[in-house]
Amino acid sequence: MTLIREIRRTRWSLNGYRAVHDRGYPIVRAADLSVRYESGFALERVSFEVIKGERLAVVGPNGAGKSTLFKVIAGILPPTSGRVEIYGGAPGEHICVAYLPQRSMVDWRFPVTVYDVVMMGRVGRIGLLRRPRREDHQKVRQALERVGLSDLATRQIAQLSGGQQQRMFLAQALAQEAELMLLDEPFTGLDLPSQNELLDLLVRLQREEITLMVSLHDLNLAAQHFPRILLLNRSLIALGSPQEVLNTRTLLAAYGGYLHVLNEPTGNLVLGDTCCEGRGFDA
Amino acid sequence: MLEVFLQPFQYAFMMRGMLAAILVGVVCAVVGTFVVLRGMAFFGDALAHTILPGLAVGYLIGGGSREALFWWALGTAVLSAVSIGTLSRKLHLKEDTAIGIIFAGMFALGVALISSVRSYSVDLAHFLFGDILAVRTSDLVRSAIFGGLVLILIYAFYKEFTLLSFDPVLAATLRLPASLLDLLLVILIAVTIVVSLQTVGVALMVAMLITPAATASLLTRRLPLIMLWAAVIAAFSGVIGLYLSYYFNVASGAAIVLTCTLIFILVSVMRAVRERFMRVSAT
Repeated sequence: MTLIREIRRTRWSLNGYRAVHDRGYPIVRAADLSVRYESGFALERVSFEVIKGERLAVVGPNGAGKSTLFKVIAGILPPTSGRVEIYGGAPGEHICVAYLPQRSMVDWRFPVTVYDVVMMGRVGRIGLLRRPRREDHQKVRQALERVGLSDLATRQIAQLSGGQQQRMFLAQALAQEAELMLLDEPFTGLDLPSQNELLDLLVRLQREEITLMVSLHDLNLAAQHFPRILLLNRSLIALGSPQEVLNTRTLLAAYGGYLHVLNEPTGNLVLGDTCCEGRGFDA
Repeated sequence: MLEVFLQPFQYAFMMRGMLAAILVGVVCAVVGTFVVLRGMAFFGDALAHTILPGLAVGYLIGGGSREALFWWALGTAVLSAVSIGTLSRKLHLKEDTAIGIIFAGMFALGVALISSVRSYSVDLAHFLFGDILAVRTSDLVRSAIFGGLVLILIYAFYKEFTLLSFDPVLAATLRLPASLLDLLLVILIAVTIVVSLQTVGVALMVAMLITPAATASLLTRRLPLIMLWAAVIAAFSGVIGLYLSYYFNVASGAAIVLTCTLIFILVSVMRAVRERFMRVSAT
C-alpha cells in the first residue's frame, strides 16, 4: 500500500516539490492535534499558530512530546487526529521544512564529509537520477559560508566539535532552502561559547525571514533569548512572551513535582528542572 | 616465477573462474558497502540461505539447466526479501526475528527438497559452497549482464541510497520514496547474491558482501573510495583465492573467503599499530 502511494507521489519529486506558498496562511497551524502511541497520548489536542519569521522556543520536560510535535510538523509522522498545516497545506506536500536531528541520533562515524552532508539537503531539489549541478554546489558553498564552516568542508563529520556539528545541520537546512527549521535540542551538550555562537547564528537566520522552532529544556536560555515560548506537556500549557508563559502556575502544570518554586520577597525563584540537566534558573 | 602465475591459465576453466571471481568481487563489494553501512549483514547472510529451496526446485524441474537455476534462485531471493519486510511490519516483529524465522524455515525447506533426491550430498555441497571452476561462458555472460545492471542502478541512485543510509528522517522530510528505494536496494542485494552463487555458494556469501567493504572502511573515510578499495580487495582476493585453490587443492569458495579474511586481519592489525604509534608520538 505504502509502495503504491509512493509511486504515485514520486512523479512529483522528479520536478522538485512545487507546493504553493499561500502567504495568507500562517507558516504553521496546528488544530486540535493529537498523537497517540500504544503507551498513550504523546500530544493531546494541541492548537497553535506560528508566525512567519519568528523564533519560537518549545519548552517542556522530557517526554512532553516536543520531538513528536516536530515530527508531525515535518510531515514524517501522521497525527492520530486533528491536523497540521504548512501555509494552509499538508506538511507532506512541502520540502521547505527542515528537521534538525538531536546530535545523539546521528551516526557520526558514517563515511561522509561535511560537504557531503550539506549536499544531502539538496537531494530533494536535484531530483531522482540526476547529479548535483553547478547551482547545487554553489548553494552548498554559500550555506557553509553562512554558518562559518567553509574551512572544514572536507572534514569527516566525526572530526567536528559539538557546536560545529550543529552548524553543519543548519547549513544542510539552508541548502535545502528551508523556510521553517525545527531544531531538536540543539543546545544539549554544548559548552557555553558554542551555545552563544549557535544563538547568534539563529538570530542571524531569523533576520533572513527563516522561521525557527527550537526545542530545549533550559528555561533560562528560552526566557533570555527567545521572544516567544511554547510550553508543552502533552497538551499545550501556554504560548506567548517569556513574561506571559513562565509563572508558577504554568511551570507547575508543565513540570509538576520536578520543580521547586520558592516564594521570595523579590519574586518567585524556581529551582532545578531536575529531570534534565539540573541547572538552576529563575523566572 | 612467472610460470607460477601463468600456468593455471592454460586451462580455460581457470580463465573463466578468474573472470567470474573478479566480476563477482566487484559487484559484491559495491553493494556490500551499503549492506555494511546499514547494518544489514545478518539480512544478507539470511537472504543467501533462503535461496536454497529455489535452487532445489530449479534443479529438480530444470534438469540441470543453469538458466532455470538462476531464475528460480532470483525469484526465491526477492520473495524472501519482501516477506521478511512484510512479516516484521505487519506483525510488529523485530526485523532480526523475522529474518531468523524466514531464514531457518526456507533453508530447512531447501535441505528437505534436496535430500529427497539421490545425489544429495554432492549437489548440496555445490549449492552451499559454490563451484567456480564449473562456470561456463553462458554463466559468465549472464553474471556480467546482471552484475552490470546492479552497478548501473547503484550509480544511478547513489545519492538517494547514501542519504537513506545516513539519515532516514531527512530522506522523509525531502519526500524521497523511501520504501520504494529500500525495496530496490533489497532487490539489488538479492540479484547480487544470485549472480555470485557459483563463486562462493550460499553459506559463505555474506563474507563476499561484508568483508571487503568492512576492510575498506578501515582504510579510508570517503564513501566512493571505500567502494573502490572494497572492489579492489574483493577482486584481488578472488584471484589469489583461485591460485591457492589451484596449487593447494583447497575448495575455491573457501580459499577466496579466507584470503578476504586474511586481508581484513592484516589491515586491522596495521591500523591498530598505526593508531598506537600516533598516540605515542602525540604525547
